Amino acid sequence: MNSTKGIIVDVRGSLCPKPVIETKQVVDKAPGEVITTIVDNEVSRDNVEKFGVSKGYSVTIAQEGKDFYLTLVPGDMNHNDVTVNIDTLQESAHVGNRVLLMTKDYLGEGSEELGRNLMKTFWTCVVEADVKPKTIYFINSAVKMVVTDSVHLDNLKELAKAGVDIAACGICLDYYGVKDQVDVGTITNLYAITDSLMNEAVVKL
Amino acid sequence: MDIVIVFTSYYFADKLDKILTAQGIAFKLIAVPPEISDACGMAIRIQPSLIDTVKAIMKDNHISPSHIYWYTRGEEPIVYKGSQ
Repeated sequence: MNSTKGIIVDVRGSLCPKPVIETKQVVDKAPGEVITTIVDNEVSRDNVEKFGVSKGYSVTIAQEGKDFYLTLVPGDMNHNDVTVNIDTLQESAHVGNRVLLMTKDYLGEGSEELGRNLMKTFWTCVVEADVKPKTIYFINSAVKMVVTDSVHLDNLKELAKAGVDIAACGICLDYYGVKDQVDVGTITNLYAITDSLMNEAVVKL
Repeated sequence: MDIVIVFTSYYFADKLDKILTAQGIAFKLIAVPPEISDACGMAIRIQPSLIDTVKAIMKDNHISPSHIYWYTRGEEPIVYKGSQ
C-alpha cells in the first residue's frame, strides 16, 4: 500500500525531536504543500501529528507494518465539512490560553517539603478553576508528576479529561528512567516546548 | 458533600497528610476553600464515611483541627457537629 503524497519526509530510524524538526523545515520551505512524514515509533507519530495540527494542517495517519505515514494537508486545501462536537466545544470553553511550564515537582523555593504540599493543593485549585490552562508542559523533575504512582495523577487526569493538553519532555523522562511509566498526557520534545514559549502566554512554575 | 478539616497550623495539616498517606486512606490535601475562609491555609478533604476513622487518627496522633465542615463547592459550609 502506498500512503505517500506530496513532499516525503522519511525519518524512520530517527528519534524525537528530529522528525518534528525535519517536518518543520519542509513546512517552512514549502508552505501550502502536502507533506508525508514517515516515522517508525508512536512517540514521533504523536508529536508530528500535534505539530501539524498546531500549524493548521489536517493530519491523517496510515500504518503499514511498524511504520506510520502522516499526511499533512495545508488548511486552505482542506475542503472537508467540519462537524463540531458540542460536548467538545463545551469542554473547550473552560480551557483558556495560558500555558504552564512546570520545571520541578515542588512549588517555589526555600522548603522542598512545603513545596511538595503546595503542589498537591495547587493541582486541586487548577482542577476547580473555572478557566483552565490550555497546555501544561513538564520538564526536569516535574516529569515525575505524570508517571505511575505520582500523587498528582488523579488531578492531572481530570485536567486531561477537561481538555487540557498535558505533555512531558522526553529527554527528561529518559534521564529519570521513567519514559515507559507515563500515565497521563503525551511525550513531547524541547522543540515543541520552545515553540510554545516563543509564541504563547506562558507561566513558569 | 465532603468533609473538610481545617487546622490551626500548617504543621498539623502536613502531619495528617503524611499519616493518611502512609495508611492508604483516601483524601485530598487542599487549600482552605474560599467559602470557609479568605486566609491561606491547608486543609484535608475526605469522604464523610471516613470521618470517624480520621478523627480517631487525629486523636491518637495529637493533631488538633480548628474546625470541621460539611463542604460543597460554591455553597455555605456547615459546621460538622461533634467537631469540638
